[in-house]
Amino acid sequence: MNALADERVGDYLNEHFVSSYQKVGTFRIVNGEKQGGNVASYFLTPDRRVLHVVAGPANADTLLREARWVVEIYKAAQLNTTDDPDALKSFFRKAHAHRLKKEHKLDVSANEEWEPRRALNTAGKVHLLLTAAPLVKLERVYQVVFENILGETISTDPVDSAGAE
Amino acid sequence: MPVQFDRGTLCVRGANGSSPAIRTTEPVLIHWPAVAAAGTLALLLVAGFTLAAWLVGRSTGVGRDQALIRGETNKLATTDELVQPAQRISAELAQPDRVEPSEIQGAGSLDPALHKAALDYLDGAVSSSPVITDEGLAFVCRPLTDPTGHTQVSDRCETFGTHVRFVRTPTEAATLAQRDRKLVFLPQISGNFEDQRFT
Repeated sequence: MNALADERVGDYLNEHFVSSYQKVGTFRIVNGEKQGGNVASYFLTPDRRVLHVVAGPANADTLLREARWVVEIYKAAQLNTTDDPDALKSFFRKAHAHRLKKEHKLDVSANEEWEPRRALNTAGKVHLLLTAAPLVKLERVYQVVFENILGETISTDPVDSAGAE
Repeated sequence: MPVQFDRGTLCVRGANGSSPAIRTTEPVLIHWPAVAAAGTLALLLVAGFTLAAWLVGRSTGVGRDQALIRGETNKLATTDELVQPAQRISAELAQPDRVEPSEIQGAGSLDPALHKAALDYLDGAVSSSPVITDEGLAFVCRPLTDPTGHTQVSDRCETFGTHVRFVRTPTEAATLAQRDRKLVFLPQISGNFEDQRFT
């Protein structure tokens, strides 16, 4: 979580977000080495709808860029959709679809073959997921993000340090 | 003394049927007692019909109102006005123990093909997961208390060596975000966030 130690990231997150955290997985420490473990950083509405996810570790510039994108898109959505939840959902669907097309060369509006999606990286998978299910509730999607995108296992087990030196 | 009608003439006979003591030759056109009785009867009938009509009308009016209310309620039940808040509140209270990936399909009016493609892409089914609750969270911030000793939502938090202020639970973060018109930032991690060796 080194990105969170960056002052710019901290200032921006503290200004626009209320932060908390949640443990959803664990890892093993074998001979002093950490095995497994990951992070998915969610940007949510106050009613826990997922606006965006940064899946996996990210550096400060990436996390800051994604946080800014969320805030700006959310502001634009509010300006254009007032309080209509369906319109807000549609707005974010388009926003994710736009980034999917622009950054990952996958146009979900075109009737192209879906085979190229296999080449998507983690960020592309997130955009694809949130294009399909924009503003989905966190409890409905966190498992897919953690297990299917990050390849981790959901667990409430404590960190296993039995093999630690 | 009995009074008898006798072919249009009014005769007043004696008690023993003897010759009339009084006899008039003037024809009787209106027999007022009979008119009064008939009038009274007619008034009663009209009053009765009126009352019956009012009762029937009142009864059907209530039924119509009830039908309207039922109709409006049914209409509401098919819209977000009633269903979504109820579902949302129910969901918030229920805090589902298990979340299956297939439930993403209930995320709204999505393009089914796109949705299926996304789920297929993410390799579909995921094995069942354990319960995730706030109890699994570390106690990050001490809650504030008011002068009466009641616990309030904390707006103090810890940073754990970062520049980000963390409140103790996602629920508290959501409450504060709603209050302050902010969004929520929630890293989900494997490991112990408060212990840098385990994060």
